[in-house]
Amino acid sequence: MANPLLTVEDLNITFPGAHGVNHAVRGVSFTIGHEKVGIVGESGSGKSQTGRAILKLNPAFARMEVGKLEFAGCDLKAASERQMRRIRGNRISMILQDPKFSLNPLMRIGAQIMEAYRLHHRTRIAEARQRTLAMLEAVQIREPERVFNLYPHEVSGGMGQRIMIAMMLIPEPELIIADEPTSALDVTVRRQVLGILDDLVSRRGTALMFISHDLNLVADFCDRVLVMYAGRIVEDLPARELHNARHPYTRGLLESLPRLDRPVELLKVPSRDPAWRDEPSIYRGVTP
Amino acid sequence: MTAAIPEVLPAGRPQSTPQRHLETIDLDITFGTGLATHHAVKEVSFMIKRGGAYGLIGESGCGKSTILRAVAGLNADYRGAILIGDKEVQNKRGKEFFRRVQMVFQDPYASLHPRKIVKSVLMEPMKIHGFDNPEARMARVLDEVGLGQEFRYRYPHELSGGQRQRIAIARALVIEPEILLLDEPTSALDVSVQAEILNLLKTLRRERHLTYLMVSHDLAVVAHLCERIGMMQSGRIIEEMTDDDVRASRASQPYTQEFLAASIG
Amino acid sequence: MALPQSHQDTSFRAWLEAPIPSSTLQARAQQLWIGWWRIRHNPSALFGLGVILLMVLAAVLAPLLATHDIYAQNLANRLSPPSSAHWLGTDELGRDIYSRLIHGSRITLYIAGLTALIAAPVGILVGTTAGYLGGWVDTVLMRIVDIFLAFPSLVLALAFVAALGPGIQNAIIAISLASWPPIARLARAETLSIRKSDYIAAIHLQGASSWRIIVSHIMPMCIPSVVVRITLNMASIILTAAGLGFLGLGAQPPSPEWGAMLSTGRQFMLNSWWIAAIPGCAILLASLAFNLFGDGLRDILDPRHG
Repeated sequence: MANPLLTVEDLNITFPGAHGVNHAVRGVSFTIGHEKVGIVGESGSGKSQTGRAILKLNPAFARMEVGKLEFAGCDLKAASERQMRRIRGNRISMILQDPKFSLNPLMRIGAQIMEAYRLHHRTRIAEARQRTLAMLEAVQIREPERVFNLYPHEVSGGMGQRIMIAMMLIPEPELIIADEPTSALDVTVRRQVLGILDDLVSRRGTALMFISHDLNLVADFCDRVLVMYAGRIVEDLPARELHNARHPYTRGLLESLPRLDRPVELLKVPSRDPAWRDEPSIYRGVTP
Repeated sequence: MTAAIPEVLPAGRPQSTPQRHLETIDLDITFGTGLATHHAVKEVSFMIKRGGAYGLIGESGCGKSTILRAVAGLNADYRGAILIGDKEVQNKRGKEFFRRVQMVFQDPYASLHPRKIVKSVLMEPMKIHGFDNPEARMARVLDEVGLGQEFRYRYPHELSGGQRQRIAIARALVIEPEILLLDEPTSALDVSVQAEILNLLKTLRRERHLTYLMVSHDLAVVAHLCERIGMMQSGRIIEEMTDDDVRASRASQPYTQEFLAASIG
Repeated sequence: MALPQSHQDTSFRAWLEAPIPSSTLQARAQQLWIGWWRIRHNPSALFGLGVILLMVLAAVLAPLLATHDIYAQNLANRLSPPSSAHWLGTDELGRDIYSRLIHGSRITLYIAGLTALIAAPVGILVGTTAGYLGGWVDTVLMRIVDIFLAFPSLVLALAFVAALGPGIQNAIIAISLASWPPIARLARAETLSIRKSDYIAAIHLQGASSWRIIVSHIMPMCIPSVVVRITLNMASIILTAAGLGFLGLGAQPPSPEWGAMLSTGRQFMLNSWWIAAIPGCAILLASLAFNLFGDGLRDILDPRHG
């Protein structure tokens, strides 16, 4: 990757607390090109905070320090809140876990998607409506005209998440940050939603940052995987190499899953070593 | 309470299976009335042997949690029969039932009282049922679930998800029930913590000879813990399988086959 | 707040910040410590707390702080503006306003505190019982609450005082009667959201009786929001008390109640502003302090905030 789309260098996020400072992200550096990058880790590993930091959406009391934060030649580190607003949704968009909490319950679905489009593109309503219907069709909603006039509570979780995807993709962003976009969905629906996301992302050449706790899902879906532990990236490797992961933490996570093809009496519980926080990450199977 | 319960069994069924521990016969649950009626559970019958583990699996809204809540006694508004041993339990449960059947909830962040320290969480059920030696029992159960004695004076918000779920399991076990109802006990947890909790549940079942009824959407988790699995779809158990059937993808119903394929893929 | 024994202070602090508490007392103390830590980082709540503490201090030390006898009339020196002899001036009977203000804080705090002590338990009990049991209990209790809520609190208090006769005790009873229904409403709303939670289902499945669930599981969850609400209500309680005093139905002259002082000062407002302005400012400051502190308390205590 000669020219990465997104460059993050030395990102640190801390939260002040009654028992001292909580260091949520510790000096994380990575780049994302036009590819699907999975960030996996357990809760508290800092993966969601890392995703939010790119859009500067961390909670107000969090303190963020970053060496370099650059997106397509644009310095996000120095960007003002005003400039960030123009980037959010338009050039970088975010898909959250549960559509129930991300869609406005009092607005019709069509109106919400149209608003997302018109916020960043000055067009007539009729044209925005056309694009919205086309987008709903693109996320495989069978009767876009009908769904256009529904309220969020009238659709299922799977359809809600497809609507979220439509809403996030319609301004044609260059990077999508998806934070556990399918964890609230059933297994059969999950596949379908991921299929749609994959199709749209590959066709438009959009970069995707896919944050998840599900190793197998990420291995299946992404091109590259970053494994986070205690606010650090401990391993960075191509997704199809995941099963040859080197880091003991990645290996431990893989082995702790109950598997249908390999019944065991007791599952392996991954060990944790605080020293991993200070070691450099393993890059493509090579310890630097 | 159980002593007074009349034995009501439908004709034509074997009157006593000596090993039967928990059974539902034609369990039927509807919510709402009129146009808003939702028939959540339709004539569900299944049987669990003493010491057995039965898993109900299906997608959200298939009625699996509704069955569990009805068995637990959280929803008295059901038709059909629920039997513990050979006795049918009344729709409105008595104290004696709760001593024998306990439940572990899905979300350990919601199932512990936010303003009670671990000690009072564990002491309360023993006080309700009049157990002797509560301090010693508490110490034992904390060891059993793999938490040290130093956790006694902690509040839930000071504990991790896995530790909370261990406390929830300890709370269920402290009054020595025979049957444990598990409502997606690991779905809110990280994979490594899930492994710890599944191991704990497996060990406890062996050591305490517990009977499990588990509900989950994760096929691998159910197959790991249960030897009989009921596949649910829109309120019915459409197919019953053993864990080996599941591993070998031996299913007769197309929906089950689809579900198995999605879970493996 | 700083204690002189610095050595003991550090070990006490270590006890408060120990990662693993070893007794119920220590666990509770640590929760308070965290609450204090949060308040310290909330300037407006800290200001509110400061003013409230000053008021409490003034009330406790009133005989020491007062410079004059509050009932001593000095007609030769009536309506004199603030000076070195009378820091806040004198009123129409030549009494020292500063001393009366200090003593008046006792009455204000007495009314506010006692009202809270009566209204909060009644409100919580009615609200949680109605919310948890539901059905006809809920209907009956809530209709009673509705009847009380249908009247503006000052009008309701007026009616009660008119029936019982003026005086501080009767004013307290009247204000309490007017202030428990909103608390019952609040407690019921809280209970409705709590009763569906898993931890209440869990204790129900352990065989606990409804009474046990209400008293030891639902009430502790309602108390924080009720405390916040009561603190925020303090402002209106103080204003109602002052209003009753102002109308001559609360504390009776010559008692130095702030509302009554304001009321008499009204006649002399054009020429001697301080007689009305000073008790007025005291009422304003006290209700502002309770409001700010209540907002801060909500951030700390409300379960939804952490």
